[in-house]
Amino acid sequence: MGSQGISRRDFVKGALVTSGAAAASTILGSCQAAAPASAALPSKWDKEVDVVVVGAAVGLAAAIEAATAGASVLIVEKGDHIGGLWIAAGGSCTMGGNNVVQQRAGVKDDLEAWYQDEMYASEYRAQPEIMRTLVERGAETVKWMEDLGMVWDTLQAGVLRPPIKRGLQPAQAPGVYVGGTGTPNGGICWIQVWEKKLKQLGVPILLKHRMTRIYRAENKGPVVGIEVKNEKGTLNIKARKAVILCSGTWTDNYRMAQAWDPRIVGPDCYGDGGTPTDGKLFVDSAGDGHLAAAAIGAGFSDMSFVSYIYIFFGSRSYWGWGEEPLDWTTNKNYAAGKGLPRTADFYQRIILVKNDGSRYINEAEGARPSVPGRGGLTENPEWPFTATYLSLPQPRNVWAISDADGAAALEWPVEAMRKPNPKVGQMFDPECLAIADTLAELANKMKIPADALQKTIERYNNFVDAGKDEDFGKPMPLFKIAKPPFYGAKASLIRHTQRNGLRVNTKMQVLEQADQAEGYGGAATPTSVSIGQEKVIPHLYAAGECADVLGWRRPHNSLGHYTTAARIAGENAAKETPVK
Amino acid sequence: MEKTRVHETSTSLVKPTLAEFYAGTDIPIKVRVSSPCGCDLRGNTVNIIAEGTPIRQLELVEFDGAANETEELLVRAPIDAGEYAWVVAFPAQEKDGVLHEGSSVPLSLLVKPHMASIAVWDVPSPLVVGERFKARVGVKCSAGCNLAGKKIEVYDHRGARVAGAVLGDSHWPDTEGLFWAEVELEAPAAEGTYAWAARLPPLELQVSHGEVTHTFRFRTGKPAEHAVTVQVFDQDTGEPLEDAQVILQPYVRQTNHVGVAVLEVSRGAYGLYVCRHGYQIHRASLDVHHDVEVKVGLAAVPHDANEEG
Repeated sequence: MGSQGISRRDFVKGALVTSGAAAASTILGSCQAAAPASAALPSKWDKEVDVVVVGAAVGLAAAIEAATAGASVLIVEKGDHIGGLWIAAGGSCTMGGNNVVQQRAGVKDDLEAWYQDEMYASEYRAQPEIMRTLVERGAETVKWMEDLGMVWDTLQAGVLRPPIKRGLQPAQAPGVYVGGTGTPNGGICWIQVWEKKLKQLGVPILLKHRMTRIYRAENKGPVVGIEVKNEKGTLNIKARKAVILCSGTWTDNYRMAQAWDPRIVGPDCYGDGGTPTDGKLFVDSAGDGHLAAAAIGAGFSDMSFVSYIYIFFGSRSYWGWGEEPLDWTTNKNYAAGKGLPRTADFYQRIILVKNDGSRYINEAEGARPSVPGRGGLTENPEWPFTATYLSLPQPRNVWAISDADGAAALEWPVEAMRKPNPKVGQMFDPECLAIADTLAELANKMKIPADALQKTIERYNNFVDAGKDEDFGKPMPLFKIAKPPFYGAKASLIRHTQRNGLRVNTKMQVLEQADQAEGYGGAATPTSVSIGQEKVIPHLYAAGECADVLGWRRPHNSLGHYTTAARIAGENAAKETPVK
Repeated sequence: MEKTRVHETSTSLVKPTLAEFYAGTDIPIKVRVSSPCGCDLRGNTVNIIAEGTPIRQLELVEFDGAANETEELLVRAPIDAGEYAWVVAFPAQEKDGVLHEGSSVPLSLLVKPHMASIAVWDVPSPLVVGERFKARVGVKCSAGCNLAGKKIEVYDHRGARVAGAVLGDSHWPDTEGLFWAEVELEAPAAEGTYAWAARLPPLELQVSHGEVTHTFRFRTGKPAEHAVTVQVFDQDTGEPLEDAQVILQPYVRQTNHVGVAVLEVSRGAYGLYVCRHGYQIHRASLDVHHDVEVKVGLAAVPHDANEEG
């Protein structure tokens, strides 16, 4: 047993074994700190370090920087493994600034061009000062990752507007990390690179320790520690210099979702953290950091813009890690989830019907080409396809319908659909699939009125003959739905990653919500709107998806920016003057 | 004289786990009976009572040290749809000097009617006016009844019976129980779009199946005048693409192993669409005034980095 009753099994294997900035005895030694001045603070600290990092995904990057700067660091993670949602990510990122990969590829880039492309991508909702900071430090992050062991693959286009190539992707690097190009995913590469460095630095990670509270001294004083709960009870951990929140997003927390947008909760609406079929959450994006920070005065931004809403067909899981027992040290069992591929010809061949058996949209809207550099097709809730779905009354009970010819043309994995396993592969879910010999039988399985569905399809087939969709103007070619068996794939709304969260400044310090009243001058013309002038919650930092560091709606491929933000948080946290 | 001991009993259902059954289908019933003293009641019986009348009796055959269970018995559901309130009762019975009091459990059933439904497919469209053609008609009973040998009929847009056929013995491939037949029909003599109906007359089976009809639509046109040969290939590699769907609205053909589809069409202006999974849809216009050959290069769908996360 470790000290303070913490099992060694709760530490990442290998942590604490090397000499580093923080010796184990310092971190875990008996911490009999003096009773804090505030009654709201614990009378006794169970542990004491310079910097506590909450969350073991991008928090690992923050911890590396803080420890490298000489701080003693402790990471707490509520899950039973490190990596959070990051470990499930594809792993690519879009980073410019004339970074080392661009240099090797002979691509010319500069900070201003990159900054402008980022602002364009976010539809100018990114906070300009933060975005400029991320751009200025971006190339350095690419090199930093490379120095830690990341092997970047050939430069790709990336997701920002052309023509400058900025797309990075981990290449395979056997012996350094698993994953990378040609394997199921690459998010795990980042995690394993960071994990290796933290072992060298001797930074411990407490798994299955969930932060439940942030302690802040009275009178808007500094943050001095956190409360965590584990299987045995509650611990109070003092953070002499800072607490860094890297606790991820909130999209599994349907109560928070209800607060921001009631349309994204209810039947057929899910978070992205697990398998609804058995209620298991691999990550549990519960908004722990958001809620604990709000309780001590932090503010949010962009929360009503709930970005990255996906509509899947046939599955209600974004990702998985295969069958039990799960092995988080390899991605060979990674399940990509997401159901049927949502390609342009998918939307062309299927029809979408809602709960009353009628169509409600030109299905081809699902394949509307995106504006280059402003993200993907169906992930934006304000785009017509998703917005129309969101505007339907609940229960929406929307199904994509096709027939034997459509399934063959789209090369659907029919056998996997007939024996759906929501744990593997595309994670087809029995609740989200219906296969039937006739349309009437299909309607019954989908719990849709059979007469209405048959009339809808009869009318649609008539449009096919006529060469014109008179109801919704779906462009040609149209395809009849006539040949058995018939297939139904239920639509599920998935709340995916977010670009909103705790407000921070360019140092990744969490901003004081009350400053919006105190700092407001009462004049018709603002004297300054710089976030650099806003009051912060001293000694509290946030990075990654927990913080609103990117603004509405920077496209995917944001792992690089999150890493930069976490590094900045770690650096600055280590510089804080310790509280007594 | 020794006084007979009396034990309470408790009866519960192991099966059925569902409450809904199709009329005339088998209901699996398995019953558990226990007493607070954990008595071995093997050899005692339970009754299934419908409308106050015992219809079947089951014997308790298993004892696990705490409770007794019957074997699983299949009981035929009523042939008339509706809600039924059956009772499974353990009557008071004496064994080894112990009187076990009676107990019962309700067995509520929702008996559903058999619903037949029809599919019609492989109807060529457009058809040439007046030409004979074949289509397929399939029928499925929701309860899975064997419909082999049953007659189906086809009626035209005026309601006249134009064909009949007998459903075959086998199921249509990849279906669970779709009995089907091929029907030979003759297209109307005039150009236009038509709605015809396939009909399954009421079936004389043990459980009634009501009449069911299914409307299908098709289009007729003039006889073909020209051949349009479309050669489809991968735009990047130049390789011919087999199984691409070539649509010269409303005519549809698949490309063969060398990437060629030949469409016999009448003179006119058409939308030309070429689709194949993994490629972007090709859309173009084509005026056909004589035989024509068209080459279409399809572009592969680009990888979408936005899906990567």
